[in-house]
Amino acid sequence: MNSQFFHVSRAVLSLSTVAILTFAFVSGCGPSARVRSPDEASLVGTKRAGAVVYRNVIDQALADLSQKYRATNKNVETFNKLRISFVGVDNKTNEELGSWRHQINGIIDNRINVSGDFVDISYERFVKPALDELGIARSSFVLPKNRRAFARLMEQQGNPVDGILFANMTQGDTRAGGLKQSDYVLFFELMSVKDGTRITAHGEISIERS
Amino acid sequence: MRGSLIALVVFFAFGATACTTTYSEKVSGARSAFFAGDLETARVLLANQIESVGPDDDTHDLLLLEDSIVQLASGNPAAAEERLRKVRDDFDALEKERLKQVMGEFTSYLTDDRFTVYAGEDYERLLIRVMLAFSNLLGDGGDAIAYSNQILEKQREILEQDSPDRSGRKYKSGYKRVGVGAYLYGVITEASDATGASEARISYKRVQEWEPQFKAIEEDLERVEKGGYSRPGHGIVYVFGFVGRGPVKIEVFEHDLTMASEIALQMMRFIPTFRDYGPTLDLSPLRVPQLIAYPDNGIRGLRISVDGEEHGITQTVTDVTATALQQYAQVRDWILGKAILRRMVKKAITTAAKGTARRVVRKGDHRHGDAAEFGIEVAGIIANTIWSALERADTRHWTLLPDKIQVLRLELPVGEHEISAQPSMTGDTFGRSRSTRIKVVSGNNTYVLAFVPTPYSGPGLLTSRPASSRTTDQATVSRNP
Repeated sequence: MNSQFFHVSRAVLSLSTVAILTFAFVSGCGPSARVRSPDEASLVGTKRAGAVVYRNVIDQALADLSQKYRATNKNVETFNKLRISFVGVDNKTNEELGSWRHQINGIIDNRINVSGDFVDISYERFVKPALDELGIARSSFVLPKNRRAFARLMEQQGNPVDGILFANMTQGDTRAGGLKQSDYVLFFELMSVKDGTRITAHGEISIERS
Repeated sequence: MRGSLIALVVFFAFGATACTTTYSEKVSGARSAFFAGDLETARVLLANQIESVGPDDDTHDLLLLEDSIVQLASGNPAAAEERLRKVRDDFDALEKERLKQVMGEFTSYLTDDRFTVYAGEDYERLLIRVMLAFSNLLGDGGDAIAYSNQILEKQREILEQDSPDRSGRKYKSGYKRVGVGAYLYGVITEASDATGASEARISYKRVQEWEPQFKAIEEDLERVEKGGYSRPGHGIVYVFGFVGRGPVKIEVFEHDLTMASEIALQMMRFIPTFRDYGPTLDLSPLRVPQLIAYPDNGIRGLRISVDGEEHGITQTVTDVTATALQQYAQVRDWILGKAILRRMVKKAITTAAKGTARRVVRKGDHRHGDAAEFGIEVAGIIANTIWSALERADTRHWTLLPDKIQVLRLELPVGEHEISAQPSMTGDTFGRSRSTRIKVVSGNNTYVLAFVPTPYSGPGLLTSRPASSRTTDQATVSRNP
């Protein structure tokens, strides 16, 4: 009996030692970092949207906008590149953009410029300061006088504009059987400063999380 | 061998239980400084505490929460948001880390509840998101809708939690709903665009259902139903007040429950199997945490003046203390149950130790066997009583929360205005008046936040849109009527 108790105790002690050493080893594996190669797929956020979501919806929405803009101008043989003011992304999702906001604004600015159809006026450098100075809410651009005031100020600063580009990021969640599907949609709305006519476009992506 | 193991466990548990200061003791200096209106001292004390405990300490996140309030009150909403986001993510991760939770629970049965993993009380988890929304509104406001949605989402998640006995019962479904999240969502969407009014209407309906004491919501509902967010040439100012001091978690003795459980356990001695190894008598009372309202909250509302003219008194949109107390009452039985179970675990260990000691005495054919066994029994009682007496209740909680979140909506002409807020009690104003200059823009919201923990202290007013000709906070004090 005593011998059996001794063996069991020794086994428990050995297992505990192994467990403690493993735990210590795993705990010792601190944070690590590496440079990702450009051809590697971006990581999909397990809790919130990240690189995959934002880059995909921006590319899709801008391609859609270019396509629609070209379609509305198909009878015009040569058309000037439209000078547009992107007025920042409006976040209507359940997830904060946080530090992503500046990057998203920058990516949209950049993608607009390389699209071939539009010339963009930098949001952070010119558009945001103008909006702050005028004290006009983005939602108030439906009023012609506000659009005119904005266009006038931009022109005075040497940045005449033809259109204002609004961006709305939305999210819808569906839950079933322990899984959560989050559908992210980025809506673009390009509004003519002159007459308020609009072209809308969107990009979407669906993410499943457990 | 077994005896030494038990002795080792008891020794470490004794040491750990005895050598730990409570969270309240850790933050008492910073808390006093904050409530006295000395934000700089509060910030320095908290920064020192945060640095000294290190990121792995259980109280690190709570200290960050305290610091977020001090940062927000000091006019650093971005710093507050950063800290709140970190704690929100940490608490969310802790809720899912089963191994860490189990280890914490295991340790707590040998020591006390201060050793459990602290992932925040339910009301605190909601308030983290509420504070995130306010911090963001006072910054660029771009993520305030997201944070408001997170308040609603977290609330739904908490209400749907299963009880710990795995019976499938939603034991938190009776919790009082917090309306401030829905209200914030409503005020932001109402200002956003033409379609916002219909979304705002749904949110305001929720607020009406969840916060029946908030009468101003009827005007909000009437407005969104009739249309007309603001008159031409006007903008909206929301003055929010963080009024009074939030709930306090203290340690209380549960004498009746201790006595009842002790009698029940001692009855086991009548069962023949347990006659020899009867449960060790334990004379120490059970210490359990109790959430109480701060006793000296005299402020009923804030009287708001614009350019020297009185415009109304803020109303309570969410009573933080009432919500916390109601939620705590719903889960208190589980806390008491765990305290009793801990006592039983400690009894089982000391009873086993007594059994081992008795066997050693009997095997050794001791001349004074009876006296030795009596000595063992007495030693067991003393050891068990001291072990239990060293227990402290887990009083960890977010100590800088307000008692009430209040609001007043004002429609003002576009331009710059001076807003003042003074504590009010049953119609009379008293204490310190605070003021700031703000800019009102056409068809849009401007937010003002007043931290008024006590009538005579607290920082100046904060605003999302300061006037270009901003003056420093002007304070005048009048005595309690």
